[in-house]
Amino acid sequence: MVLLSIEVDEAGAVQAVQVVQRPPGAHADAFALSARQAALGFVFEPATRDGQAVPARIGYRYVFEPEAPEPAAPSTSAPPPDTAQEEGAEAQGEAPPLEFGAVATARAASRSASEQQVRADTVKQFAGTRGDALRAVELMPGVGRAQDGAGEVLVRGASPADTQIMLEGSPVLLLYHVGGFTSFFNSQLLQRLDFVPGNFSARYGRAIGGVVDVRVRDPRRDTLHGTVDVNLIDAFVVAEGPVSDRGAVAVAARRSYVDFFFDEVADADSFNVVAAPVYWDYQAVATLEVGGNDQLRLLGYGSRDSLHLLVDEPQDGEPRLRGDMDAVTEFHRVELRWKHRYNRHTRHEITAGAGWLGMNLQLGELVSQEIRGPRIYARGEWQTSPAPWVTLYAGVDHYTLSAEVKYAGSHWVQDSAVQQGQRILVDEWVTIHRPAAYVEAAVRPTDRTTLLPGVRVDYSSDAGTVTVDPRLTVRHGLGTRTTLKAAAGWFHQPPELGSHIERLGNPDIDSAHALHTSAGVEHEVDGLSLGIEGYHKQLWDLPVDTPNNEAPHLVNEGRGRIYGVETTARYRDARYFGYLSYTLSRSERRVRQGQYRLSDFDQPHILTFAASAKLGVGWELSTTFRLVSGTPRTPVQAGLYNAATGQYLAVVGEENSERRPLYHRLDLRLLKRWAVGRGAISAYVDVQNVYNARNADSVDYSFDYRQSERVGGLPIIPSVGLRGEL
Amino acid sequence: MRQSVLVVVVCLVATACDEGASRAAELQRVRPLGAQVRVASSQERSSPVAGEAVQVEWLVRGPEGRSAVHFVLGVCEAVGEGAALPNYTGPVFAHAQGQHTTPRLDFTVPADTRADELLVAGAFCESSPASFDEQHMLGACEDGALPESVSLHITLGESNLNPDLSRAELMLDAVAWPDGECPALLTDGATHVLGGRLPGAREQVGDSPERLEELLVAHVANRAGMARLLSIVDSSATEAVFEVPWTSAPSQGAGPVHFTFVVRDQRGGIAWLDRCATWAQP
Repeated sequence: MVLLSIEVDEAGAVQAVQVVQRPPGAHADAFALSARQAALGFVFEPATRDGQAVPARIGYRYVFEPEAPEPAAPSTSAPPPDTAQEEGAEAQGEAPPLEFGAVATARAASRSASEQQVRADTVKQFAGTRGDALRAVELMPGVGRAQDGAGEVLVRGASPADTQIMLEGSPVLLLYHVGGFTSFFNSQLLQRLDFVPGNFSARYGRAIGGVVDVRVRDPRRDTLHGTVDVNLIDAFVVAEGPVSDRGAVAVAARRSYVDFFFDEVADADSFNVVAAPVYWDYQAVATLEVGGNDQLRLLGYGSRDSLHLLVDEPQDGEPRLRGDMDAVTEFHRVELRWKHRYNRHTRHEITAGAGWLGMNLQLGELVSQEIRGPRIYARGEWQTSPAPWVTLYAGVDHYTLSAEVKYAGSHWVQDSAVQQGQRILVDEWVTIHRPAAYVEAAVRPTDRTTLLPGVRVDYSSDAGTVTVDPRLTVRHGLGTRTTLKAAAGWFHQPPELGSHIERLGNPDIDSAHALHTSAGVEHEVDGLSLGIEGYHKQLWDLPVDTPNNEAPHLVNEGRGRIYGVETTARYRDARYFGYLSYTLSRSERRVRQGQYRLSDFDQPHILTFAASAKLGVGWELSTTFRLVSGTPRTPVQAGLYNAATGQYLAVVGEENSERRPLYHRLDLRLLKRWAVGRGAISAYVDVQNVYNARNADSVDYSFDYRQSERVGGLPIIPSVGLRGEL
Repeated sequence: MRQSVLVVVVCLVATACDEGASRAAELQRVRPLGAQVRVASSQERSSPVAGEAVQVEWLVRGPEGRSAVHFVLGVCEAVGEGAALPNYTGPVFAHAQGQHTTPRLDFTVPADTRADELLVAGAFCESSPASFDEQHMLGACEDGALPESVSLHITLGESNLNPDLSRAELMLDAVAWPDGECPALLTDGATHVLGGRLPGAREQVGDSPERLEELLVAHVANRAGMARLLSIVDSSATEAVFEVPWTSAPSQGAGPVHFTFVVRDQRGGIAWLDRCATWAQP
């Protein structure tokens, strides 16, 4: 138990936290620091005197328990308010303070060497995110900058396809809605974000890049809560509360407005808008406590992005881009989780889910692509601590995808939006099974050293192969504030869906493989965390196109190497939060026996700064700044006239021999919060690209490739919103 | 399979939002607009077979209408049809070079060819002799000017005719627009409608008489103002017609305006029509 003294301002914001009493034991500092940091993120219902909100200081008991099935997340809502009001909520400086409390779950140390666990309530305050916690993935160390609007996550120089995006351990199709402004899952229902850029635990697999695992919080059980948020791009509503002594429910829904004004900005001469870009998503989560040792949770969610255009006339550059232009991405999923505690040392967590996925792309006469079908996912993990110095984990997970795959078009040139070769037609049912099992142990031979050996075995029915991935992480503490860490592991990634279809790819295509190694140091001083980590990734058996895209179209003849160093500094006190990271890296690829060249995702310098300040009386100001090297590009030397089509073809120079310009962007967010009764109203302005940096990183060529100009890059984007919370 | 499918469409929308007249439809320099393949023994046929003599005639137009260019052309048997760029994969078996308003390459398809396609490639230069780097598919002009590198794949063995435009009727603002007549137009910023009927230009495709070729019409002029480069005649259209708006710019001076309409059947067949008008100051 940690006893805290918390100063709360008249808006309910925490202004200062002092540790009054630490728990006994070897980890006293760590618990005290965790409790203090958690308290800094609390928002209270303001104390009142004679009906007026006043500053107050309260005592707060923060009790840690080992991770258990019970929903014991830190309470970030107000403590019981009635007593405070009756007693007149001790004004600042008066003693003794009232005492409240909460029980927190003490998570075991991370099972991955490079893991970043980010609390949703912290990152959704970041400027430029529009309050969306998942947008903060872009600010993590080692995360490069994807092209504006692409909504992709570039982790440590890897292809976006090499990073597994998951929700509660189940893979999801995408992280962001179209345009990359908003994520598919409402941040109000998120607990945290687990970001692992490499050397991830044996719990995770099927990826050679990184892992982003989005964790959902349980619904609040104290009373009814609601949030309504209206801004210029979309609106959402969240409602949650108890349904009995043992259960609680939360629901959320969001819809974009883009379709309401799309007609005004679209060029009516070029196309008719049949259905403008629209996205929506929904989430529902319900928990039920069964006895003292079991919890059931039902989670349902879904998302849809759609756009439908009708292009009347052929485009100058591509006559086949005419007619229906459709793009729909849609998925729905429901899953049931059962947490059970056998005894103080042994428990399990089993999740089973099913869903449906639909993707449709129609680009006029150029290409038509459709994938739709059910998906099943199951995961189970058993954990036991037979002795104080060891914790054992054993798990299985299974992923089945059954889908109808239709395709009409030429072959895509790898990692591009270019097609080449003869038109092919595919209409097949594809069923893929990917079962896996893993074991892992956290062994503590001394108080300061933890070894995490693990091994994961995967089978991919499409590749027809079994892979065995051994992994090891070592942590060693130097005193109570410094930790050395090192890790190495094998990773593999099965082929992308459709790659084994003969006309699209190669029936014999195999998984890609990687060896990750890393070493680093973490150091914590009160409120300040510092870290440095070096890493190296060796990649092989990467799928690459065959020369001239001849059959079998795709072969495992690519290699890659990525290496770099990441440094991070994070500071937090009652009023200020600051985060600074810098990554220096290099990412290279080689095809067949060729020379290593820069990969498409090489960004040598990534600098990220984020800071926020509580200015008092409900005002909060935050800012983020990013400075990122441009990715490599292949220059166009000239145009070659194709008399058969009347179009010019690009004659390109040496692959990735040029680099796009340096990207830099400053975002600001200003928020004002008013306490209204039991709830609050917030108004915010979130401005992306404050100084309107051009960041034009695409090149637009004239029809004959004789002239070019840099285009792209988002302009200044102000977003104003209003949020009501109960 | 691409998963970020929406991104592609968003990019497309961004491109389509580029407003104004088509720059590809404005002849600011001498450049190729197409090439017609004719089998010597059957001039209307565009698809030769092994052993047949072939003529490939290039359509070149510039700001002054017909213009002579220096050219160098060669032809080889093409393999590797999936390549992003055409390239010479076999020995060049016929050459032509010179200076002419209609560059032309005559050759005979090798009788023993196993290729499905031939590749014609070369370069045009406006004011000096041209050369062509067959390895990199890049041309060069002796005077250092930027060349026009050109290519044409010729499919062997498939039966196809060049579009027959002998009965075509072009119209300017819904009035008949015969060849050789250059109606006067005011440079007053008004929008004119260029259009045409192309009866008999389409062949039947397959067994169904209902199914005709799809035609792609490129319309270019030596003055800016064409709304777009391309119009299409759907295979399902009962009548082969097209229309395109063209807006005169008041700043443009008086003088002749040359229009060229290039009709492709998208199976290797091509034909073209020229028309003219005269600008007059209001």
